[in-house]
Amino acid sequence: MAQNYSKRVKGLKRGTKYASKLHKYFIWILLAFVILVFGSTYLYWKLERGGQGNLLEALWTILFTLIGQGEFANHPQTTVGRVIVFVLSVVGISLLGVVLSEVLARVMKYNLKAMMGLNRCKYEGHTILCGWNSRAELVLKELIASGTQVAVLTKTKPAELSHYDVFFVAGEPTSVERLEQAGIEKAESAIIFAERGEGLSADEIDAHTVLTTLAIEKRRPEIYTVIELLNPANERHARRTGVDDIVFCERTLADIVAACASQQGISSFISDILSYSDDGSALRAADIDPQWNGKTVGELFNAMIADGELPLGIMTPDENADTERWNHEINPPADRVISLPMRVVFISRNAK
Amino acid sequence: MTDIFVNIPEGHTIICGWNNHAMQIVKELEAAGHPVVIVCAKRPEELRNSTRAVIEGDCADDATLIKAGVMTAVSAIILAEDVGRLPVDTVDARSILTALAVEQLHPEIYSVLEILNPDNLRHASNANVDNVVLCEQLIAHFLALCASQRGISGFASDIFSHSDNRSSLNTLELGPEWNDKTTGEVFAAIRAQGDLPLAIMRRGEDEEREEWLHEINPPADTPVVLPMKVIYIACEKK
Repeated sequence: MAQNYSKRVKGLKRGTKYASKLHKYFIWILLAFVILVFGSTYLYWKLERGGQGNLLEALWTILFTLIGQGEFANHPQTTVGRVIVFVLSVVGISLLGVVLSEVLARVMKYNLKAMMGLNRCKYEGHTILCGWNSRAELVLKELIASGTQVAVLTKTKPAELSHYDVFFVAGEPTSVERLEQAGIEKAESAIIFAERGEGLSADEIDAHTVLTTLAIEKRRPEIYTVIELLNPANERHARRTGVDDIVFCERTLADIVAACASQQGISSFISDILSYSDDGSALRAADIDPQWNGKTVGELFNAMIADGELPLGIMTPDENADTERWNHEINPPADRVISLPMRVVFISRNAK
Repeated sequence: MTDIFVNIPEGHTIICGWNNHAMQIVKELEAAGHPVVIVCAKRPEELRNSTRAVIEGDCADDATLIKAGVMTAVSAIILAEDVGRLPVDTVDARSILTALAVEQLHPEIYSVLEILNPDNLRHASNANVDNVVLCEQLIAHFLALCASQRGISGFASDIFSHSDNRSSLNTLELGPEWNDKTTGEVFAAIRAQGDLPLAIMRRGEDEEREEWLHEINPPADTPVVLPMKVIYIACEKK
């Protein structure tokens, strides 16, 4: 029995060895197959057909010969033709089998790695979501609605991800290797969620969020980072990492709930301007084009109103900040001269 | 301060329940000029040394709500309590029971309810709540906005907050003097004051709930038909 087992193990080892050899020499095998098919096509066209008809028809005949079908496969006219049929029937079909099995193996391997979050993201200008919580799916939906590609980096794959066309990377968001796998070099922005864990206090959750931000900003300071903090007292730690934007969930929620009670009826308007996935309107910010440099804000706003947009204000970079921070001015004077870089804040309709 | 010494103002807002962002809501409402009365099971730690009106008791109990002046209040905010400690649906069920009690005692009150699970919206609607805030959805939308529109968070936080004494989002109920005029004229008057008009709101068809439907940037020749409100940004005056 032991001998039998040993034989099997040896057989498996041999199989693995051959598979890895096949993997290594796949390009050469593929090349041999292509040369065989096209060489046979040329010889068939030149010798069997005497150069009559077109080469595409000859290629079709050779492909059918490869699987034993067609007139040529059964009745080759010349000696060279008979050799071609013989070689294609023995060597060609074997090579085709090898090529097909390797292609299938590669596709399966890629899909398996994608499922396990082991692939490398090739997106450009995308947003990386680090961590996952109850709000993350809604954020994902909004980003997709705004036309942004998304990569998700979490320890375990959330079940909800199967409904969306996103890139998944499995791993700890503080790991530089995993961040690189999520395509941090070419990402436009990153959102770091406050990941709640059992028994973790708000400060402990914030500490983990800050560590992730630190890893991201250290690896690529130009990326635009948005983080979710639970305790506003931790802002000073977050600012030291070079984070661009901090969202205090509880404070934002409080401001909006209070606005809903004090300005009765305003809630539908607020929900509307915050959402991209509905068929209403949304708040947006865009860089002002160089063509407007030296013109006035009034001219820009009039052009936007003519396009059906509602301009609200402008944003200028904060010169004193180490990170990308913008100062805003709501309803600026119409005679303010545009001096780039400048951004405009406006409300416009969502694409349907 | 015990309940018998609590001075209940009129035209106030009742806050039912207490959670992590309740204190910020109190500050915001006070900054917007709305007196507040808080109803919760136990006086919150943050209000231990405060003179703000707090009624201790069950938020869904009629006697407690009457003691908090529900009959003279203009609005009520029902907060999602014990988030994280209780299942989401249990938290929502308790909030809806409170909303039901508030609406039954004073149907004209403007009620704002925090809901965690959007599936429970239909129950809130059955309780005739005027305004439902879907907490998780709101924060998610705000996060997505900040990530996709660089630098906008400061702008958005500014307009949503009243306590920062900068610009803020407001509504204005149009008086009879505006009847038969156009929204273009109303917007011009608001702009003349240095503010920025954004939209109009008309009453919805649901008579039982105070529902308002908005229209952003309406055509200037839209006639004013009362009741109508205007949404505008009250800009920071320098």
